[in-house]
Amino acid sequence: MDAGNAFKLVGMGLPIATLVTVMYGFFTGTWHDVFIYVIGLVILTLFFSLVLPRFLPRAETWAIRDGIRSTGERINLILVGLALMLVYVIGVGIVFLSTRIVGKRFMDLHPTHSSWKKCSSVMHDEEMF
Amino acid sequence: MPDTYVLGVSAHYHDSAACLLKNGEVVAAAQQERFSRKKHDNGFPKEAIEYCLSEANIVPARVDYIGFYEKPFLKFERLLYQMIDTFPWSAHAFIDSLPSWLSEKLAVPSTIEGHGFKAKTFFVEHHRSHAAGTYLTSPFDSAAILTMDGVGEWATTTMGEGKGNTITLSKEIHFPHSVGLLYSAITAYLGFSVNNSEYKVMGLAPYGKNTYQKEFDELMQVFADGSFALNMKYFSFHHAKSMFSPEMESLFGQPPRKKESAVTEFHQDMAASLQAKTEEVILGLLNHLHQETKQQNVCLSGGVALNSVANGKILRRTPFKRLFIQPAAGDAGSAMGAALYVHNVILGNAHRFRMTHAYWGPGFDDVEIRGFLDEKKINYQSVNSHHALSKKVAELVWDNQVVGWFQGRMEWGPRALGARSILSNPCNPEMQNILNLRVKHRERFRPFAPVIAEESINDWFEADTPTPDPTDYMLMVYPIKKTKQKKIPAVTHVDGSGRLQTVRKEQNPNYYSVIKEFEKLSGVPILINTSFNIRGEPIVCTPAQAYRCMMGTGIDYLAMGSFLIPRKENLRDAWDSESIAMD
Repeated sequence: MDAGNAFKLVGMGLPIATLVTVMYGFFTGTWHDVFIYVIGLVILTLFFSLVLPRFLPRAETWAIRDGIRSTGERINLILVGLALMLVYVIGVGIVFLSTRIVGKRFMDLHPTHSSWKKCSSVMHDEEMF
Repeated sequence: MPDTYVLGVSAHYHDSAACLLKNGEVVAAAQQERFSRKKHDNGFPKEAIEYCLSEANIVPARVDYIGFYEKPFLKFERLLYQMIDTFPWSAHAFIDSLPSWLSEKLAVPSTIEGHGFKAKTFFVEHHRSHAAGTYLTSPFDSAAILTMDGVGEWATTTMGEGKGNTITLSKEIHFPHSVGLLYSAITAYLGFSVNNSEYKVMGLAPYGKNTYQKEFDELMQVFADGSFALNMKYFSFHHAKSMFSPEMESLFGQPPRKKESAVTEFHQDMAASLQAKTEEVILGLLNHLHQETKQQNVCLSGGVALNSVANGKILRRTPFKRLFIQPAAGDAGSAMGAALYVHNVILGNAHRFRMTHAYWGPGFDDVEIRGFLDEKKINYQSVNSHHALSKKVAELVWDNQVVGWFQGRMEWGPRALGARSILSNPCNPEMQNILNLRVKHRERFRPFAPVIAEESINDWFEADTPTPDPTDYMLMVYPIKKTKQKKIPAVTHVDGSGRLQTVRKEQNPNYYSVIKEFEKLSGVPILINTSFNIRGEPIVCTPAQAYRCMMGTGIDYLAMGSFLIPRKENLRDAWDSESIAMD
C-alpha cells in the first residue's frame, strides 16, 4: 500500500471512529465517559486535515482530505437514503393503498383497441412550470 | 424597433443544448457536450449558452424571453404517479432519482435566474418543443407533424398539424407505451448503452433476418388506428433502472448480451426484427396521420426520427410527398424548438425561420487558428486559397490518406456534416479496416457513411425524387445502385445501402469543392465522412481539440482553415487515445 492510500484510509477512518464512539456513548448511556475520546478524535481529524497539510507534500495531504470527504459523502448517502425510504414507504405507500381501494390507476397499462389520448389542453399555459 | 432575443434551453435528461434567436432567426445553437467534453452531457448548458450569447454579442440580461423544452413539474408528477402505480417495486428508483429532482430538475427557474437572466421564461411541453423544432424550421407553410421519442412529460408520441405559425397537436400516446423505449430496451438487451448506442443497433440490423417477428408482436401490439401498446410484462423501465424484465429472456430463449462480448447471429436477428417492428409502427402512424390531416408534407421529430433506415422508406410507403426532419431531431433540437415555439406560437410572430444548413456552432477564423498553431509551435503548411486546399485534400484522400476536416462553424446535431469531419477514400475496400484500426476503433459491423454532391445522388442511389431535405443532415438511408456498389465498397453496407449526406455548393462551398476535386481524380463524387472525435468523446469543437484528436489517432493530415497540418511532422505531440477511450 502506498503512502497516498494509507493517508486516505486514515482520512476515511477518523470520521467513522468519531461517529462510532458517539453512538456507543449514546446507546450505552456512557457519553460522559466517551466524551473525552470524541474530543480527541475530532482534534485528530482537524489536525490531519488542517495542520499536517502545512508540512506534508501535497499528494498525501489531498489523500487525507479525500478520505474525510469520501466518508462524509457515504454517511450523507445513507442518511438521505433512509429518509427517502421513510418518505416512500409512508407517503407513496399510503397513496398506493388509497388508489387500490378506489380502483384508480395512473398508467393505462392494458389499452384494448387504441392507446390514443386527446392532447391535454390543461397545460396550454406555457408560463406554468 | 429593438431586436428581440429568445433563448431556448434543454437540460437535465440527456443532450443539453442551447439555441439563440434574434428576431426569429437562429443566431447560434450548440450542444453542451461539445464544450464540457462529456458525451451526452445532461447538466445545465452553461457553456453552450455562453457561446450563443457571445455569438450575438449580448449579455444574459439582454435576453427577452427564454423557452425551456419541457414542463419539469408535470414530468415530476408523472414520475410520482408511476412510482405509486408500481409500489413497492419502485423503491430503488424513487430513492435514486428524487435527490436530483429536488436539487436540480425542479430548480430550473432559480438556476436560470442565477445565471444572470431577467427574461420571462416559458415552459413548453416536451413534445410541443419537438413539434416546433421540426415544423418551424421546415420549408413548409403547412404540414402534418409526428413526434416520437422515449417519453416527455406523459407523451411518448404525438401527432398534429402545423399551419403558418401555429401548431395544433390533436392526439398523443402516453407512457409507458413508447417506440423509443422499446428500441432502448432492446438496445440494452443487446449489450449496448441506452440513449447512446441505438444507432449501432440500427447498423447491426442489416446483418440479420426478421426471425423474431412473432416475439416482437408479443412485445408490442399495433392497433388498427396506428397506435400501439407495449406488453409491460416484458419491461421494467417504469419502476426500475433495468429496461427489461426477466420474462424477456424467457421470450427470446437467450440471455442478454454482455457488453464487449461477441455479437452473434441471434443478436443480428434481434436487431433486424426490432428494426422491422419499428418501421411497421412508424409507417402505420404516418399512414394514419395522413388519413387525419390529408397533408402532402410531413415533419418528424423526437429521438426515433433519427432512425434513418425507417426515414428512407417514408416517401415510398406513405402518401406523403415531402418530408422534413431537423438535424438535431433528439432532445438537443428541442432547445431550438422551445425557442421557436415562444417566438412564433406564443408571441404570435408570423415570420418563420427556414433551416437550409446545420452550421450553427462556433467557428474559428485563420487568425485564431494560426495563433494556436504558432503558440504550440506546430509544423504546418499555409495554403493560399480554399480551392487550393480542397484540391490538395482531394489528392491526399485519393492517395488513401485519412484527413481531418475542420472548417467553418460546427454542426448542430449528432452528425458530422463537413465542418468537423474525417474524410477518406470510399473506393478503397480496405479503408473501413484502416479507419477502424487506426482512427475510430469501432465495432466491425458498423458501416461508414458517404457524402455526395447532391446533383449526383440519383446516379449512385435509389433515392426519392426530388431529393428530400433530410439528406442534407444524414437522416436518410437509401440503397446504393447495384452497378455502383463495387466502386464505393468502403461506404456500402452489407445490405447495399448507405446513410448518405448530400451537399450543395451554396451550403458548404469548400466541402463541395473537395468532393468535386475528388471526382476529377477518381470519377466518384463521394467521400467517406465520419465524425471527427476520439472514441468515447464528443465531436471536436476547437482547433486544440482537433489537433489533439489527430495526434491521438492515426489521422494523417488536418485541414484546418487555410492550413494543412501533417501528423508525421509533429510526432513529438503524438499520444495514444485508445488508452483513455471510454466507449
